[in-house]
Amino acid sequence: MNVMLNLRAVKGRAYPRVIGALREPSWAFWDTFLPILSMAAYVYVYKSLNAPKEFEGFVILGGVMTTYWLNVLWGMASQLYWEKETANLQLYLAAPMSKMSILAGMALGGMFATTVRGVSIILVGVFVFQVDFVITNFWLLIAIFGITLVALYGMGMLFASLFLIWGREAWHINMLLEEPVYFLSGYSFPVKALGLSLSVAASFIPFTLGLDAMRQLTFPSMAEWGLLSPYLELAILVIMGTFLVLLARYALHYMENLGKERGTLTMRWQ
Amino acid sequence: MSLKYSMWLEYQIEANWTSPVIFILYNTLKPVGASFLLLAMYYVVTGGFLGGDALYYLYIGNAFYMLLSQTLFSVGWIIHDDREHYQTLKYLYIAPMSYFLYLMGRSAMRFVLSILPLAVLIIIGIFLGVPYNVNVLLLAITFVLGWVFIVSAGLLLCGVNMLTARHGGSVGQAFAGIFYLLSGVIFPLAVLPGWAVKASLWLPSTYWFSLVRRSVLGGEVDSIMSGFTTTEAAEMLVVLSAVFFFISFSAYRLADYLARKKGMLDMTTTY
Amino acid sequence: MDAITCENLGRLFKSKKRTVEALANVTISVKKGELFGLLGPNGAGKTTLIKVFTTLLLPTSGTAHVYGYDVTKDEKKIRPIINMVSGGEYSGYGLLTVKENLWMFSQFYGIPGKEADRRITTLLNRLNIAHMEKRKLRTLSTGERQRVNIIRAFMTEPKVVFLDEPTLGLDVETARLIRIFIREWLEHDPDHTVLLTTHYMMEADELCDRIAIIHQGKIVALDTPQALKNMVTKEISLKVDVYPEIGLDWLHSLDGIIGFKSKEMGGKVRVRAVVDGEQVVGDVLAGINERGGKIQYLQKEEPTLEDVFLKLTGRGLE
Repeated sequence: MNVMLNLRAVKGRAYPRVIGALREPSWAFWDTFLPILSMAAYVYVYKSLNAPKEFEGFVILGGVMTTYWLNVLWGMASQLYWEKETANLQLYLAAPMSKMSILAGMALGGMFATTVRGVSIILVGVFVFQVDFVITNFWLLIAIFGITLVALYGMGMLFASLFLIWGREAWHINMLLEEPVYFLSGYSFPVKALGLSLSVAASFIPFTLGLDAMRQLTFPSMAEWGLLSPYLELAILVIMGTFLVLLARYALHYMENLGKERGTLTMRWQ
Repeated sequence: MSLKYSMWLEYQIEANWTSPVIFILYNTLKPVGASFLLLAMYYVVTGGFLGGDALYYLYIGNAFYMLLSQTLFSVGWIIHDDREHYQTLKYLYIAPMSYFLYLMGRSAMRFVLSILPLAVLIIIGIFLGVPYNVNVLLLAITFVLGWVFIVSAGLLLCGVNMLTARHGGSVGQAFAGIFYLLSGVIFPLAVLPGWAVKASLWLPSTYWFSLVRRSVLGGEVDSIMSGFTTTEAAEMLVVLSAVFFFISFSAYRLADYLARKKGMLDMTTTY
Repeated sequence: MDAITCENLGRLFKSKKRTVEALANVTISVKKGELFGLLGPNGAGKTTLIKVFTTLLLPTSGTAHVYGYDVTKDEKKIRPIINMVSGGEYSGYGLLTVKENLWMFSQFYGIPGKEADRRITTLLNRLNIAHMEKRKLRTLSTGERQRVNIIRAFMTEPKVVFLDEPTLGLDVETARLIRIFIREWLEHDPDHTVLLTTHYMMEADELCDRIAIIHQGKIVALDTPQALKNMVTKEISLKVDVYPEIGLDWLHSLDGIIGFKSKEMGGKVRVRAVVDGEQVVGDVLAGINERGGKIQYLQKEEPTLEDVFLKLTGRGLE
């Protein structure tokens, strides 16, 4: 594998994302301010039910992680669909770089806007909703956050491979992965409430374990709502992340070949 | 004619990628997931699923909110899709049909398609013990007024999209978030800060959701909205919907003019 | 070793309702340094063949190689040495400038920044759009955009370039500039090879060292432009303008007609026919007169590639 080539490709593809965000600043309104309103609605639901304050914090943290999940879905996984529709995909496929470096570039480039949104959500949580984050182990928290992102983006690359053979079907699968995943992964509530079997099943989504561990490390008073110990969750996420990235590599190669066989790599408006 | 064919087009875009069974399943899973999320939140606080005005308020509000969010989600894509994906915007625009009616038609069909998941959620509500007490006439009027308001919101969104880049997948949903927060959809208005409550009383959606509760549950449980009689709430909805439509239409016309002036009708902004 | 080869190449597209044979037993070989043309009407299979060579599509049967590498297995070796341009291409990112788009694509080929900058600047100057480097791509006209696409393909210094109707929809000046550029690029290095598809016979005639004529997925002829035109030297190419418009179905059954096409032109009809002898010319003119047509214009022409195509397939290129 040509490392320099792929690193340059990552840089090349990240560039339009960063420049696009700077040149079209309306994303700050659509992708940052407005989604915070929806998240705030969930906080008010807990207020209306007189829930413990920490539950509001669960929503805030869930909101932060869902911004990365949405970046995975819309900024990476489905992006190959848009590249196909705008005739860029065939140029990417005919170039010598790895497809994963293109996807990584998209993810890294989108990280700027995503992180702005994530930080905004935390600021809203702290200053508007007066949520108190009590970090019990900073480095473990950072490690879990980082590994969760790696696993999430690995999963995103796996989904992206579907767009090499499908068109709107994969697009709609992407859309389906919002609310149902929010529910299964405990976006706004501790996933343990789903019961053991459902929680374990939901743990196959990296988001679930990552969020659960981060909640335990920032709201220690609610530790009884934790599913597994953060250290165990970290270990599982490392294995999951490695597996997903390797699987994504295989899937991209397999789906590309399948797309070449079926003639769908350059087929628009599927 | 533009209305009829644009409704047909919306149906084709939304549905012809799969079989009807899969389409129905797909259309249902998303709203059901959203509802279950709220039910889970209710459960972790109260320890149960049954009983309580708060649960019924939350559940019915969210079910009907699906009409709004799904319509706006699709409408949020129309301009960007036509402009950058299918690259048909300029051809539709210069055709003798009304582009405005074309947008209305597409959002109308999306509204119609969103009724199916709503019906599924209503049925699930039976198992949750939601005490339905349906006033069919009021519900019908509420639907019609809701359509006017939702289409107006869609029009405003289309106008804005004519002037902005295609950023991400959820522009429409994000826009719907304003109503989600400020219209007493899943929590009583009294929970909001005072200034937010005042703002919410200026939104037609606030009265729409109140009428929804009255027509489905037989009464209003929100402490602030129960200060309005049903007739007063309906009158407010009619007046505010008309004003909202006027504002949206004006904003759409202004955006249309600016887009033409700046040459944005065929711009490509994907990145 | 030839630059591009394929042997008995076939490609089927299957759907629920039907199967389309886009390519059938295609065998060609393109030498290094050659500008090889693929001439055929819309839907003949030109783009499908390009997609196979550029590793975007697998063949259903047969083999294809680029620089000795198998397109089905060695795509990692092929991709660094090729590039492609399609006619009417709208790739790139509208909100980036011309230079930014080109730089981005240069990174996909691992070209270091300064070197990429040098190549881009040279090519922008060569194609007369250096003054546009800071303009956003979405503000460019079709011709300007196509020049950018050409730069995108050639800046990576490929050994083989696939040009799929590169002058489609372009004005005369831009098309001419691109053709000159292609010729100069070929002359610059004996290993540079171009496979060009087009349905403009004049372009193929002017540019190509050899041409393969493709029709309904099959190669019907392959030779130099002159050799192909010599195929119709014994035949006569006629252009006749007839007024008023008359029916022409009777020409199908006239002995000696090899092929013809007609075009209505505001009350009159222009007939272009290839016939196999002088006598047939008289039969054609007599037939027109019998049916009430008057000859407004008559010309016997030198055969063109269009005539070759007419002879081989019985229909026109456009």
